[in-house]
Amino acid sequence: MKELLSRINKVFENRVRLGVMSLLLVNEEMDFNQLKELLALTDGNLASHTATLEKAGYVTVHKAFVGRKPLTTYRVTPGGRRAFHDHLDALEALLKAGNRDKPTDPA
Amino acid sequence: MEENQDPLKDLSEIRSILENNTKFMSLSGLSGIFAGLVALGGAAAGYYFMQSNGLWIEGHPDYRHLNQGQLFDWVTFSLLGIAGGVFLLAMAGSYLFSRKMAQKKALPFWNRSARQMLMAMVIPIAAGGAYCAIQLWHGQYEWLASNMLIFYGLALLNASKFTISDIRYLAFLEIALGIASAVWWGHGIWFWIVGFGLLHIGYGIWIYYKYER
Repeated sequence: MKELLSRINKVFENRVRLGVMSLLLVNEEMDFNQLKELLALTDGNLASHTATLEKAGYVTVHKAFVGRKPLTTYRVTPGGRRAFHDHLDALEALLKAGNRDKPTDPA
Repeated sequence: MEENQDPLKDLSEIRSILENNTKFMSLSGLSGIFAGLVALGGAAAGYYFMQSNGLWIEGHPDYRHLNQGQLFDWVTFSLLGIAGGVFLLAMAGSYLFSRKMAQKKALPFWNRSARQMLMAMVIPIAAGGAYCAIQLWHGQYEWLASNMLIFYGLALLNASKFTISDIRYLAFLEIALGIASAVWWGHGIWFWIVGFGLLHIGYGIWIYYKYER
């Protein structure tokens, strides 16, 4: 059980980061404001979590300008996709183990 | 006992949402470059074939002999053979480069999104192929280039929903070229060369530098 717990990805142990990853996994690309609106976050909060994901190599950040307005877009990386799937596998293994090891019902 | 089944079911639902909403991201720019080069090669082969048979007049292919009441002749067959060869070679190259890219990124290759993309392309291309074949059968070879370009552009437009969205712009360009080819009558071969050759090479280079460099 303890071994299974160690396979849970700490980077995803956060509501915001889970939300960002989920959105980026089903959308090819999202920009900062889209993420902010959909997840109902402040600028600073979102920025710090996307920085964490970027540092982990799970998302790529592309900064551009539309006229004078900055446009920051995010995409999930193949590594990020794999890490998320591994995370789901770990959760599934944990649940199955929990199912197996649960105490028997009192008769 | 029932409670523990739900999270597992949730997980498999999450997985199928992920699977159903992922696009085919293994499309390589190299496929485009290769397809463009093959198309140019095919055009060159067609040119040498026509010229060596005295069918190239004043910078244009001469199809006049085709209107002599024959349903199919060896010239048509040879040109069709070249076109078919270009198509198959380009498809094979696309397949190989995409598979290599999927392996490099450790992504699944033949999954739902790959199938969706392929099906999205197959129908417009099959319709276009049938239509062009029928036109050829009726001796209306002058419309071939523009129809090929338009049907191909529509196929790409459909496929762009299931892969990288940049393909949409290539789709628009091919459709525009097809329409332009119908307007600037009699220069189909050049529009064909630009649409299937040069555009693919240029696009392939752009995609390659954008995603794979």
